[in-house]
Amino acid sequence: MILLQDIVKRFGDITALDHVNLEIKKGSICGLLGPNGAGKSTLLRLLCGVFRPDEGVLTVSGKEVFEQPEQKQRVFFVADEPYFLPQATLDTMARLYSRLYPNFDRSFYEELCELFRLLPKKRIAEFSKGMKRQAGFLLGLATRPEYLLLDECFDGLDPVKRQVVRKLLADQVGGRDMTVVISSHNLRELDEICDTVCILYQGNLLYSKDLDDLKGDVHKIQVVFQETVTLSQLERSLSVMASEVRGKFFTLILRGDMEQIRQTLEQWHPVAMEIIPLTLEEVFLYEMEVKGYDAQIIFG
Amino acid sequence: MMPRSSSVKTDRVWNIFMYYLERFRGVLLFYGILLGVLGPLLVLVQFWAGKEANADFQSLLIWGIPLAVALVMPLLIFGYVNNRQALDVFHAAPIRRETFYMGGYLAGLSIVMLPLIVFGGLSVLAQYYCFEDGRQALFQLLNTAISAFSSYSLMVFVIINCGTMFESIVYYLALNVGYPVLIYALFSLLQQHTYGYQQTENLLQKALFSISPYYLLTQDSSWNHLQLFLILVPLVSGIILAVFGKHLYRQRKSEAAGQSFAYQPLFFVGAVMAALSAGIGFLTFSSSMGSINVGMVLVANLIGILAYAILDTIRNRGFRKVWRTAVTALCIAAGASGIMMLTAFTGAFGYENRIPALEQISQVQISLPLSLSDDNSYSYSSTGKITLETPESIALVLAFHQAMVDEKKPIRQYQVGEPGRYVTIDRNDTKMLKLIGKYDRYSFDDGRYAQSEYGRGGSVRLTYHLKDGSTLARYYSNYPFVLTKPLSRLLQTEEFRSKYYDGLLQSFSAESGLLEINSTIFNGYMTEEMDRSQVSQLQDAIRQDIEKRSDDFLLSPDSVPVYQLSMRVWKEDGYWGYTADSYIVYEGDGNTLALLRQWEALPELRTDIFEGTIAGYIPREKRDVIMNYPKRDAGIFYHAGGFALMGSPQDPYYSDINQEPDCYEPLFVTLTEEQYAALMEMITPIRLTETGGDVVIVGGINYLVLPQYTEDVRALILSASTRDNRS
Repeated sequence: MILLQDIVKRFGDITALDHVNLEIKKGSICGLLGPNGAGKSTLLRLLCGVFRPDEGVLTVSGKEVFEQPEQKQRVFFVADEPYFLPQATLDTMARLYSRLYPNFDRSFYEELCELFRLLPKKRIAEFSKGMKRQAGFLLGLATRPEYLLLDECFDGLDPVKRQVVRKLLADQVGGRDMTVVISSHNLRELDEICDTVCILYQGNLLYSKDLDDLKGDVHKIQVVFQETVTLSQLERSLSVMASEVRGKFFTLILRGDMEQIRQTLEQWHPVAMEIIPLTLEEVFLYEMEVKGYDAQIIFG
Repeated sequence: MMPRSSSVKTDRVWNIFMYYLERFRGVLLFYGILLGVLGPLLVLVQFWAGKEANADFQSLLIWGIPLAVALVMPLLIFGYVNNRQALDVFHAAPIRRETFYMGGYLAGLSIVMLPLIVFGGLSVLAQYYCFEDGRQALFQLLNTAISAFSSYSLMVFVIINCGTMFESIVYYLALNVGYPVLIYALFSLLQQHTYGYQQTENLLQKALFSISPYYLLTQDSSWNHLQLFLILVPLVSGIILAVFGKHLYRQRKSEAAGQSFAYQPLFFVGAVMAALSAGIGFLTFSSSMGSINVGMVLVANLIGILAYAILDTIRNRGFRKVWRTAVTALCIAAGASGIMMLTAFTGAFGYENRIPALEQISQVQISLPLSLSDDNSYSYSSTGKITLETPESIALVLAFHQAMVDEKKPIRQYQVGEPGRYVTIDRNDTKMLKLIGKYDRYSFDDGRYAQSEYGRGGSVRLTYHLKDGSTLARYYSNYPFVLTKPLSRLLQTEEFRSKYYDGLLQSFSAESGLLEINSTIFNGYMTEEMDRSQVSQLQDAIRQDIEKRSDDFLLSPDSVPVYQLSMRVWKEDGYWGYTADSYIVYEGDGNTLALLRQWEALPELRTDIFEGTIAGYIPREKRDVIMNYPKRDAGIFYHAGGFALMGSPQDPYYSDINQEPDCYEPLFVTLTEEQYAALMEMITPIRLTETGGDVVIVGGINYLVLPQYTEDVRALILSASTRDNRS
């Protein structure tokens, strides 16, 4: 489990993370969402021990990470722009990582090279941007980490490779109980893969919630009433996050248990009622608006 | 607390060490081959061409390569600390920073040192077998190894302090160039403007210089205590930098990569050093021609402020903090100026005026010129030091010292060359002349100061050994004649004479030697190889002659100097070194002269002076042009032999004064033998004396015209037949 308690990180006059509290369960995939400069990469670098928190406590599996090799060997960080040694090939980098990480799995590395169809002896400088990301990702997986931290890992990947990455992550999480933290500024990328989603904005953690709970808790319902029903009547009985009313036709974003909502609406004898599936992006947009943030700014 | 060890197998210094060795094995191989091939090759070249040949070339190649590698390796190994992307790999790995530092540091050092030790060692062996002496090469190897180590440690330290590679390189260079420049400029400034201080005798300066990694390479490759000390300084400073660097590396924030500085103190050290070396360097250079004035100080401050502002602007990546930069630079300038002013007003914090009390002194060592030779070299040994212990002698030295301190202001004015450095060639044109120094100490006869080249002339070095174990050393040059009264009395004391003669005799003791005999009046030079018995005979002859001399002989010799004797012996370092230098043999020194005659070692005298070689005469009214000598002082200058009073008229050195030939052209006269004999009766060899007079040069030896014969000498010269000096 990853636990952040009152974490503060400053860069000069800028506070990149401001008293962040977060818990990420073991064996889960956590999505870190936020616009550029929100503090996502900083948070990941704190988790892997590249940065040291100015305040607060950060533990991985119950122990601090910074300058603790026993803890750091469980964590691998794939940066948004992975670093490769000058003139290096994948094999060169594999030799480096085998020096740095005690659990580096050479055979798994070779498997991954085949899976991603990357040539181990080709100079990485000649790789495309997407191939470099794949190289960083596969090298990270080959270290057999318990915690894999991915910074914008889907950028530059084609849809097929995205699917490969997603599958690999799911396999590792399912098979080895690996914990993954993925940062992204794109909600759609995380929709299908994440268990938990956190939103960072200007160094503050706005939101952290289990994705299933989140999706199960917010509903979009279109309903038509025969009787005259006012919105205020509905608001008195239901938790209305957003609404659109055209005469007797209501489009409602409601929070709560779906069965209870349905029973509540039944008292006004609706002529028609339809539950429309919400995308993760829509859920967050409504959640953020309720919290008073302009979601368009947060998610671009 | 940081754990001292971890259970993670990759978190081992050895692991990182081996990783870097493997990664940079290409560099190691190339560098090793380079040294391995060039080293023996150059020894062979040296062997074929002779020992001294190609020494510089060999030094440059063999000893320069490791220094270059010592500069490059830190950049290759520790360059990642200034690369954010690389830090995501290295600092995220399960390896402590201490392990990274130690593994990287030791690997880089090994790459620098291994080929150097292996092939440098082979080179030393080759030197030993080729020349039967490998000590010089061994010492050079040691110097290079320590310089490389120190340079390597400094570069690693700078990289860890800086945030970018560009700044790392710039500040490494700034420290290596700025630091020696600052030390040199400071000491030069002290030398120029601190009365009684002489730079050359300062061990502190050498120690400060030796912190700079490359200073060792400028030193002689010889075994002595000073060298061993100078080796220790960079060695220790390299170790300190390495240890301190480790501490800084552990504390260094990864986010500092790419910023201007991870640790600001290095910026301030570098920038302040650059500012001070620029400002003080200017001041040193500009004031070397004279005293410091307000304008110079202002310009020096501006240069220093500008240097600091440029570096601070680069650090801030723009002009955002221009006001803070300006205020800091002004504070530095004000601080430096304040310290300089305070130093000037307090006489270097009491240094200039300090004279120890008689009862504090256990002994005093005095070095003063007693030679009549042109170059003012000492009359018997290269050191010329005489240690005095009796209260009477010490009191005389103290009296001289007190007189020097009392006359500080006018002497210093003279030393910095304010008055009379510019002389008028004609009434409309002012030229700067480098004036002859050989007359300096004799031109102080009326308390006025000669306009001569600074640094020549009479000089005295005093070293007091105090009873509390400390020493106090002062050096005075170009002292006025009027202040030499205590010294002239000192020359007559029993203690001075006995020690002077003892030292003189000591300088003529050796197993064997090469005697050089110079005629003082006439042209002539001979050398004589002496075995042990001949050296002993010469020493005995000199002793016998000395014993016959009167008590005031040093002050007033009663016969004419005829020869100068110098003795050289073969030194272990491989050169002929002087043990006795320019000892004057007088006409009365019968034993010495007889011995030399017996050896047929007296130079065949060229009697040019009787056969047309000339004495020179400068018209009195023109002498101020040449010497800027006070017109009211009567004086005649003569010359004979190969050296014209003002050098050859064709010498470009004196080209400035060719515009008015009458001013420099001496009136050359031809003396008959009788005239010459008469002249010699009216002049006396120059020595420390309480009375001054005009100066005559005959055969390169300075003579004073005896005051009572001034007019007679002039009349004699004017009556002699003249001829054109160009003929």
